[in-house]
Amino acid sequence: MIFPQQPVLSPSADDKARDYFNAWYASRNWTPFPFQLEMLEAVVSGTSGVLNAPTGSGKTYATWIPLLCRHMAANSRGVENSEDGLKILWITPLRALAKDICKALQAACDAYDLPWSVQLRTSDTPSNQKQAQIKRLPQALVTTPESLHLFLARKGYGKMLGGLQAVVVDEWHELIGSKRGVQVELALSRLRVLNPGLQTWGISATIGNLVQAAEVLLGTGMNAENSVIIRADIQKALDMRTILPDDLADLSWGGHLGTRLLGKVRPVLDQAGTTLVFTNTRSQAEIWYQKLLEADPSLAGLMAMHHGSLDRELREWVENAISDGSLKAVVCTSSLDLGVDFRPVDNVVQIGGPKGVARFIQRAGRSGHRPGEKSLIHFVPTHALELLEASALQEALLQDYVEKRVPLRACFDVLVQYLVTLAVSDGFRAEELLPEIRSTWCFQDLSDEEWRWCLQFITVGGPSLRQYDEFHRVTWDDGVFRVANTNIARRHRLHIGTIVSDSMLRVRYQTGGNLGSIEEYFISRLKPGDVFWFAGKVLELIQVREMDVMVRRSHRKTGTVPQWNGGRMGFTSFLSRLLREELTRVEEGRGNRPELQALEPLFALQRRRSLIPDKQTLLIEALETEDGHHLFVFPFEGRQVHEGMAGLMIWRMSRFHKATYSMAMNDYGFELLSDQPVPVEQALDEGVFDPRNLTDDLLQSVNAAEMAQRRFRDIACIAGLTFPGYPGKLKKTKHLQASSGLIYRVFADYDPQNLLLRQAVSEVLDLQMEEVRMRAALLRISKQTVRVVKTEKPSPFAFPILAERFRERMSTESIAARIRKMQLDD
Amino acid sequence: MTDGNFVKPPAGAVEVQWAGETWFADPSGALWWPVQRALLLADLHFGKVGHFRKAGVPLPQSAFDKSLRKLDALIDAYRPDSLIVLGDLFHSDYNLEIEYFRAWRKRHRHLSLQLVRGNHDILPRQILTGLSVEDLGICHRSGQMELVHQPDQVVMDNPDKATFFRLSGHIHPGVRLRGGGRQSLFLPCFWFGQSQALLPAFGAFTGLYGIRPGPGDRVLVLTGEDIFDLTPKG
Repeated sequence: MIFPQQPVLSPSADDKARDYFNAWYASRNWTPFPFQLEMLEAVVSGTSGVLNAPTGSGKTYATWIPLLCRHMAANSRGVENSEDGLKILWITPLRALAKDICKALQAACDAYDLPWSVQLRTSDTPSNQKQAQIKRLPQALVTTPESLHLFLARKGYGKMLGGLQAVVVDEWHELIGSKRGVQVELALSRLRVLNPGLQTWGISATIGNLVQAAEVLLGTGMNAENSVIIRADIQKALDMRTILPDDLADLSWGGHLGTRLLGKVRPVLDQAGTTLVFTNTRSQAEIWYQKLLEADPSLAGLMAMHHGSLDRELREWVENAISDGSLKAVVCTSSLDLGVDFRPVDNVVQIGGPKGVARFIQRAGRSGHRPGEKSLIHFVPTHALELLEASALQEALLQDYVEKRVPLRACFDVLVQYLVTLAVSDGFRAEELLPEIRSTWCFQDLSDEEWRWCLQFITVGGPSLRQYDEFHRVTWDDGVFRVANTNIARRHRLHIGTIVSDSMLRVRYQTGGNLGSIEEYFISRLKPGDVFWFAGKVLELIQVREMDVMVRRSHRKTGTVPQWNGGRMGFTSFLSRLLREELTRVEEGRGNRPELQALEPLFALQRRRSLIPDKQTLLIEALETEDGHHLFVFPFEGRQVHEGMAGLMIWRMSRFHKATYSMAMNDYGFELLSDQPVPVEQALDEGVFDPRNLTDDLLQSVNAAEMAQRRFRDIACIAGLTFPGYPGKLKKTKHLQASSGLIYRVFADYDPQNLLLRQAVSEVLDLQMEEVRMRAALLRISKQTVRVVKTEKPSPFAFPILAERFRERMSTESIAARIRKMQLDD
Repeated sequence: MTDGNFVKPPAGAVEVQWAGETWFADPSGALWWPVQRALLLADLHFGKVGHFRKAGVPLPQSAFDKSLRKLDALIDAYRPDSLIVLGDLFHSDYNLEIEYFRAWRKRHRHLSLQLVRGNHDILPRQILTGLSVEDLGICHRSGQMELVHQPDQVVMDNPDKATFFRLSGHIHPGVRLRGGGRQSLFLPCFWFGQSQALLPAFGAFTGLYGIRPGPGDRVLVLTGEDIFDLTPKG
């Protein structure tokens, strides 16, 4: 107990709160950092805001302790029932974090002798525990955005959430650029109306748009004067070491596995206590885990794996083992990107390019968790050109610049889901809810017409043609929107959330015991008896029974590794610029970083077969193979921008040349592949990269390609048009399963004004291709010299794109013209 | 087939010689059987949109109306005596779209409408009767032709061991086409094999299942507006 023995009778509650605060630090012999004192003053004065502090800076307590102090000072202790009800919500993006945070928050309450219970409420929380929570609410809940929305779908939620004093959104930088962030915005708008004095605090790592991040969190209703941004200003030293091959020939030109450097990674694991080995995908994690074990069987028992598809118990076991310090290494994905400050991680390995500087720094920050310690990260290139990326990252660390996380606007899918959520619980009145929704950043420009469309969509199911219809989702009765049908309510609760995955099946041993879940798509390609790797184990498929995949251990050494269809990230514009600068450095003979020197043999070959473009040059390579005519363009602008440019180029060329293309792209450039030569000279003469008329041409090219349709997949699911399969649940929805592609075509043919279709197109333009970035890129290109080189063999720059399996298709020919040139597949 | 009632098929249709008879494959997915003056259709899945809507999934109502208009145009062009549906006329149990179908049926009351039952045709017989749909059971034979829903449907009763040419639907056949520059297209099709033929799904809100034609098979691909003969060579 650290409560001061003789509380000083202060003239104000504020002073009392300061006393509590000082007692906490004094009892630990700590001196509060200036930012921790600033947080105290801000919280005590009732302000809302954002705390900008990195992992490992004590950010959790910097926020939590002042909130507790304020509560204790405001409530005279000993009054009966004053501690009843939910006081503080703590929202975290990752379930993996929630448990540790919960423990830490509870520990502080106990130390103050405050009779508070801090509890977890996530999708991992057993339902009997959730029931108990409702019966007797804890004083603080640690939860995720999805679980918070589920709470809002509960009858009587208003009363349960009506006594809130504060909401903390942890790792706000992770949420802000995503639809989960929009969920948080909507939930906050509701909570603020329920609790007019509510304090909102975001905790964010450094991002390029921190002020905007605060505005989004606090909503448009918040007066800017009443909010603050407090910066911890803790500069953590970061040491990046690239694992270099002895011979560049050891690295392939393309591919994403990079296990060829495994022999050099293995000793790194011995250098420290616990090492986190980050991979970019779950498949990569499975493969690295497998290969490391093969290389050194003594790692068995000392190494674990952690990714989002693993069963909760497995994940928890790994998380606990990290806390205990009993593991030497954990191979993981972004599932361990964020972390609480208390875990003993000394060393971080990043396999493959992190695609952005902020993410790289974040991951590096997982090591050297104590204030003042240095973070150490090893970068392992998975193919040769990633050495160039490594060099760019080194430069980025020198330049001290971080990317922005741009908040989303007008996500109608999330809004539609939210409206049904509120209709499922206590119902809502349109005229009361609209101002709340407009107080969020995301929907501040929501027009009356769009609002009417959303209400119509959930009540009558879109534009109504007939007088009688059986559509019942939300009913409108006496001004209140409600869901009356219990089936619809139940189905809605099951699919609240914005993270869309394929239909998932549960993987379990025939003898009992869950391993995790796996995409139906992967399992559908296996036969009983086939062997695959999952959860770091070699498993034999016995049979698939409803939503369960029954397996047994196999003694075979090899097996298929599931390919999870994760999102493909592209370089940020900052990293792209650095990359172009690195190339210029090479061309000017200033490439003296070890990473660049290691790449010299590849550069020499590139020069021999083609050339290395400097900042003033746009390189285009034309190549003919038995596949057809390839055109490689190298703007070095990142995958997203390349995708848009490829479509734009095809669309603009269609004015004088109709053809069908297969497009591939990576972060360095893009490829157009056609059955006829691409008229590149004419294209350049006609201004194919002209920044003028960009918006119109881009829109046309998006419609011509199938990009919007792919984007629609998530939108359809979030808006409740498709239902993902849930392991062990919902077998009954099979008859309501239709592919999002089918639904997209039905809408495109019969309801083209549908706002969700429009959203799909604008997501392609704004998020996928980043029109703004593209305009800047085209402006830059318009000042460059274009060099078209005919190559005999693929150049080292072209090869990784050529080998890309993921391809877009786009055609400007008539379907009849295409069919005439094609044969049946056999 | 040169009697005075023979209506010349519309320009878009493709003539097919199969099972010793002449047929015309229409770009809409219907198969014209001149001898019988019948239009064959498969997998209309009427009521599917309504089924989803009833469960709270807001699909556009007009998808259903468009299918009916497509039928109107076919009847106008071929002037058939009968429509024969090779299963899955209706998608599921009763919903309001069936009432809109009833209204359509009244306008075409002189047309005979026959149904070979498919796995989705679960509507009670009296509803079908009320819609003037003649129930042909799971298998209907006419001369050497055998009409069933599922191509692998087992029909026991064949005492004379007669050979039949089987026409069916059910699988929503489609084929993948490939061309230079790694191009590919996946389109619905008619398929005519030695003794079996498959019709594409006629309904608007239906998926596709890939089939692999062998040598000697006739394949006609639909693009929505046109029909193309892609019979494999050799």
